[in-house]
Amino acid sequence: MGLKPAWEQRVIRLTREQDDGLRVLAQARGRSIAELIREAVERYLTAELEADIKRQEEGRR
Amino acid sequence: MKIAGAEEALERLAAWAPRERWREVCRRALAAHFETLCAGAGMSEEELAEEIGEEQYETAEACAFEDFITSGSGTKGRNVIDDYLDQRAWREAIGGRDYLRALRASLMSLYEVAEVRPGAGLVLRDLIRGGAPLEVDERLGSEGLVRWDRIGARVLTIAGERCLSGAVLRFRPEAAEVVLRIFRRAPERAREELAAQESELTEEYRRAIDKLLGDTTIALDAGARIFTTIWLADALKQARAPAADSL
Repeated sequence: MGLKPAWEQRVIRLTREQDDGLRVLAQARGRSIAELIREAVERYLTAELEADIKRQEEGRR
Repeated sequence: MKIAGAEEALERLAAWAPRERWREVCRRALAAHFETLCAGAGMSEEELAEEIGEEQYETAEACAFEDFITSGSGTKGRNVIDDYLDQRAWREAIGGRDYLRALRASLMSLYEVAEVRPGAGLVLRDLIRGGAPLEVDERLGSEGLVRWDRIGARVLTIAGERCLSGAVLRFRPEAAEVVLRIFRRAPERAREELAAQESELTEEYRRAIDKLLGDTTIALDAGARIFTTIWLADALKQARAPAADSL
């Protein structure tokens, strides 16, 4: 049994506490709630990182 | 703090992982720490290593490797350490196994050195997650760091004692600020991302997401490459303008 990150355990707990609406939405997208959230965070982090590196490169030139 | 068997366990894991089904995951995970900077600067990893120096490059590589072995990137959230311990735990000393398990549970974060206890350890404040300062048994670090230094590191808890993992990035103040800004804004921006993409979300669902995004460990779990990329970009900046920067 793999160890899940603490935040993912919270997602699972919270999903259990909510009504079925949460699970239905995630299932409709073929994702777990944790995946939906993690993907949104990753998209933001990637965009922010790329913007910052671009700013630095432009500053250098 | 020296953990008997830790170094050997890491070496054996590093030798084992690329041979097994983790090879491709490993390659992609390591590349993720370098590709944004290399693409932005129009250079290869080799050229980057040459400009910043082998020692700096290897430090970033060690962080990237720790990110690979700690993230749950396999199916069902399993990762390479879980797999390795299932198959090879018998080869490792208790200390080695404990070290790998502690590493597996760790997250990279940005810490400020609140106090240095020479020859003994450090007191660190987590600038991203907050909370009470942490006492860390770190003799070597206590000699190289000073109060107010900011480091990207993983604090491991083994048998009730805290120590740092092997890969530690020392940040200059302005680079540390960039890291902090990105992580502080992560929950709000991720919320905007989700709202824009999932327009049919119910109010209840939005509330649940808000509650979850308040947990900064989500961003830390996904964002170890933020630390290495910003640190590498700053190292490159220093390497390219050493005279101007030291003024």
